[in-house]
Order: sequence, then C-alpha cells, then structure tokens
Amino acid sequence: MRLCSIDLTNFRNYDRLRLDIPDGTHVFHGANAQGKTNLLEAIYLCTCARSHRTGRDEELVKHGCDFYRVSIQFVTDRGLNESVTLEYKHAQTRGGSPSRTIYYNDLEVARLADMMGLFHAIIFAPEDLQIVKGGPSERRRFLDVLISRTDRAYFRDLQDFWRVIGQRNRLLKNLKVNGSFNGRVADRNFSDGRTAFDEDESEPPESEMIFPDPAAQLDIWDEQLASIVSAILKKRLDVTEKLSEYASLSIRHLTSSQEQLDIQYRGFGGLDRDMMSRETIERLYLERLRRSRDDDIFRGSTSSGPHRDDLQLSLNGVEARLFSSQGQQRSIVLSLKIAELMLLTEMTGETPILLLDDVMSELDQSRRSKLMEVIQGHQVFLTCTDTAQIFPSDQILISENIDAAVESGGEDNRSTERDDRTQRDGWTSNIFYYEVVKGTVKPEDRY
Amino acid sequence: MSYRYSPAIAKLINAFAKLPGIGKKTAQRLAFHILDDKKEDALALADAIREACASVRLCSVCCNLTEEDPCDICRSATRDRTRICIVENPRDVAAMERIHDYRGLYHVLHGVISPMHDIGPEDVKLRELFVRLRNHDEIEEIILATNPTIEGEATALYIARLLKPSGIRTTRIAHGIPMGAALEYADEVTLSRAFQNRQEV
Repeated sequence: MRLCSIDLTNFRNYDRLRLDIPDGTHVFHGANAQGKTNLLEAIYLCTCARSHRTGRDEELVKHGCDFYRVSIQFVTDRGLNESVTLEYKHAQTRGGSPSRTIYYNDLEVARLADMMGLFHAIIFAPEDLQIVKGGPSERRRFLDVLISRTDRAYFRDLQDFWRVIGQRNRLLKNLKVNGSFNGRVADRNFSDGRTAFDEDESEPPESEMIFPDPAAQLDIWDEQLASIVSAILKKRLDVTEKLSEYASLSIRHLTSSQEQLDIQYRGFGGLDRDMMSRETIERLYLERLRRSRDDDIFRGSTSSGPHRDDLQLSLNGVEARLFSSQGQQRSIVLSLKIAELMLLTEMTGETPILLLDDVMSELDQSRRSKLMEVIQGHQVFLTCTDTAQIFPSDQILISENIDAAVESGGEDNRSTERDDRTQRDGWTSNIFYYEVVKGTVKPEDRY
Repeated sequence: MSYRYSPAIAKLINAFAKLPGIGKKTAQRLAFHILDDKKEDALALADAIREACASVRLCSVCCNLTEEDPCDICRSATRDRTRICIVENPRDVAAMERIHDYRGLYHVLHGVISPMHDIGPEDVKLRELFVRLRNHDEIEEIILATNPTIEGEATALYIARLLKPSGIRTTRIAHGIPMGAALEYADEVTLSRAFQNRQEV
C-alpha cells in the first residue's frame, strides 16, 4: 500500500494542508510542538477512525473551529486507487450530538465497521510503551484494534458486546434496587404474616404468573452475552497465539536471542488457549455468569468477560510490566509492533504504511539497524527533531565502504559498492525531507 | 438581536420540529407553507389529524392500530387463526402484509425489552399476548418477527422462553441475504449468519 496524497482541514494545528506524496521514505523534522506528530496521527486516523493518542474526536479539531477533515488517497498493492475521508463536526446546538462522517472512494460509509481494513498503516509511537507499562485496557485496545483491522465482524461483535453488557448491567442494577428476585418471591409469600408452614393456595397476582421472575430476563441477556463473548474470545485467543509466536521471533532477532518473550491471554478462570472451540467457550462463560450472578447483582455490573481480560507479557519467564527495565520494555513494544506488522501483512495481503513517531532517537544502534531491516519495502513516514538522529548509520556506512574500498584498493570498487548499497537498501535512494514549522510543511531539496 | 416570530407562528414551528426527521429549517418551511396560501388545505390537514387521533386506537386483541375494534385482520373470517406473528410495531404489520403469503394473525408489541431505556417485559404488549394465548387454545404456532437487533433478539428469546412450557410451536424468522442483492455487497455479519443457517437443497 502506498499513500499518494494527504489533505487536512482544521486538524490539530493545521488550517489547511495538502501534500502530494511520492513513494519512498518521508522525514518530517522540526522543533517541538510544530505539528510533526499531528501529521502521522492524521494518517493513522484513516485506518480505524481512532487516534493513537486520544479517543476524543473533539480534541482533534483546531482550536476555535467547529470541524476537521482528513482525506487521503492511496494505491493498494493490487494497483487500485482509493481514498478515505473523515469528517467530524462539533455538536451544532447545545445538547445536540457531534457528527462523524466517513467516506470511502467518495461514497459515505454507513457504519464505522465498514471502514475497518480499508487502509493499513502501523504507527510506532512513544505512547506504545503503555502497552507494556499501562493497565489491562491498553493491551485490550491493542488487541482489539489489531483484530478489527483484519476482521470487520469482530468489530461488530465488539459493538454488540458493549450494547448487551450495558443492557445486562442496567438490569442487574434494577434487580439490586428491587431486591434480588429471591427476595421478591419471599416478600409475596410472607408479607401477610404467614410463614412457609402455612399453605399458600391463593393465586399470585397475574403479572407475576406471566413474568415468572426477573431472573428469566437475566437468563436472556446472559445467553446473548455468552454468544457474542465466545466469538470475541475465540478470535482473541487465536490472534494472541499468533502474536506470541511472531513477537517472540522478533524479540529474539532484535536482541540477538538474549530475551525470550511469551504472550498469554488471561481470561476468566478455566479459559485456556489450547484450541478451545467456540461452543466450549460459550458454555464455560455461561456457567461463569451463573456462578457469579449474585455477586454481579450485588455489584450492579458484570464481573467477568472480555472487558476485564488481559494479555500477560512475560519476559524471560517473569511479568514484563513489573520486572523489566525501560530498555527491555522498549524491546517488547518494538517486537509487539513488528508482530502486528507481520500479522497484518499476512492476513490482509497488503504491505502497510509505517509511521515512526520519534522512535529512532530512543533506540540504540543495534536495535535501530534491526528496525531498518524490518521496514524495508514499506513506505515510511517518520518524525524527528534532528535529521542527524535518523541516519547516523549513513555516515558509518559510507566510511565503512571507503575503508572496504581502500582495503581492496581501487577507486572503481568504491563507487560500485556505494551503488550496491544504495540499491539494496532501497531506502537511502529516495528519502524526502520536510521541515515542519507551526502547522506548515515545507519540502526540502537535499539530495 | 435576531428576528422573533410572533407567538402563534413560533408555536407552529415548534410543533413541526417535534416530528421525527424534521429539523428547525424544515419546520419553518412547513409552517410558512401552511400560512402562505391555501389555508383550506391546512385546515383539512388539521381535521385529518384531529380525526385520526380521535378514532384510531389499539385493537383489543392484537394491539395493532385500528378504528374498529377488533381490527380488520382479527375480525376476518378467512385468516388462519392458528398462527400469530409477533412484530415490534404497526409498520411491521404493513410490511408483513405486503408479502401476501402470510394469512395468520398478528400481535404488535409496541416496543422491545431494553433495560437501558427502562423498558421491561411489563412495558410492551406481552401481557396482552399471554392473556390472548390463554383464551385461545386453537393457536398452534407463534412466529417471532422482531427486528434482528440486540433488543429484538432478546425480546424474541424471552418470549420463546416463556412459551416453552405451553408446548406451542415457536419459530423465528430467518436472517440472511436480501433477494436480488449481490453477495459481495452483504455485510459480514449478515453473510456469516446466512452461512451458519444454510440449508440443504
């Protein structure tokens, strides 16, 4: 996949920006707070309509404006010209609701789910460290975004899940307020001073005969929930297994086999990742719901399910969140991202666009060059404050080549080796530089 | 300072703006259209609204909207009285009637169970359904035709559950690919549902 152009209106600190983008590597440099990251954010937004930095669209609107628009044109690996446009408008009236409209090839997309998987970009950003350091919700989101981008039905399942869980939680709260259903039946029997020893042959009020007890309603939501949850968990388990495989491969590569990474999905008790069928998961989850029902009514919310689960990241056998150094956590994040890249490429057959937000400066020389290897063959957008940070290896490369040339003793040799290198890298050959200053982007002539 | 409409006009605009699908601008357009000329058309409209409001009520049997009680369908001698099709609202009855295949009776719920909106089983016309079933033992089949939404499914499941002890045959309408539509345009959920419920040919 290749990005051809990007159009921004009232997005973050950009009034208006239009960039035509050739294939190659694009370096955006400039001082802090000029809008480098905003540019990558806009591109990333087109993958799943959610920024990597915030879930609140209103933050993306330029201050003092009432809408933003992001529009990109791209070419797929199959050679199709496509476009995605996102528009967001603040609520027009007080108490009104904001509106978001998405267009694919200039046609409005009816559902958010239908924009998943149209455009593929992967972002490497400082915020990614939260996947390791942050709470379970960060890891769940990482997984959810990844799966949704390869599987729209999964995104729909997630939407349905939140709807059903909302309904169930509301019912649980109602049950709590009205006393548990057992309590209600007891009230009816004993309210007139009789005890269970007195036989009660009077007919219960008609309403209770028709609607046996509120628990019957809870049964329905439990069943609906279990059906959706099993679909979600099945996919999460499958993808986690692959993710674990790819991430452990890439961390071995990154660290020259010094580190071992293992990823396990941590769901409710009894759930394990060994090839469980959807039916089994559904049955287990339903049992779980039944067992925790009283507790759920007491809390007024659902105590277990995909909204409580976690990914356990273990580095060399211990929990990474607690027992690994900053440097190790960086390696974990990088290998998770590379695993994401491998999975996405495998499942969609498209080469994603890579967005590197100020990540090079945080990596040491060996990891940087390993990352360079991975990103070969992709269209890359990266930001930095100082371009010298990005290609210090260039200098080394050239001097190495000169050394080699000197050693082998010939001017001709030097130039051919330099050419080889340029071609092999593919990436030193067409780099485009842009200076970003206060919401403007100036292309530079460097090479 | 912005222009203020006189009270009667403002009242009319606000009344229009309460209708579904009508915004402030359209409400203004409608109000001025009515006041501009052809006052008799407007008064005819007012009469029609008044008359409909006065005469239309719920059928005491099926809860559909009707002027005569019981409604046409419930009174009809040619309809199959052993089947009841359960729908969410009167518009769904009209939709089902368009297929002409179904000759049974209806029951209109006027809503679906949704705890988030404080709508429980007691708040839709379920009580009426069960009273009806108790009084008519000729009923052999209940067809659940609520919408395939989360709440529609839940309501269908709930009714099915309550009907189970009665032994009445309970069916749910199938969900699948719209006729004449191309497979490639079907959304994933519809397609996978249709796939799961595939049939022997």
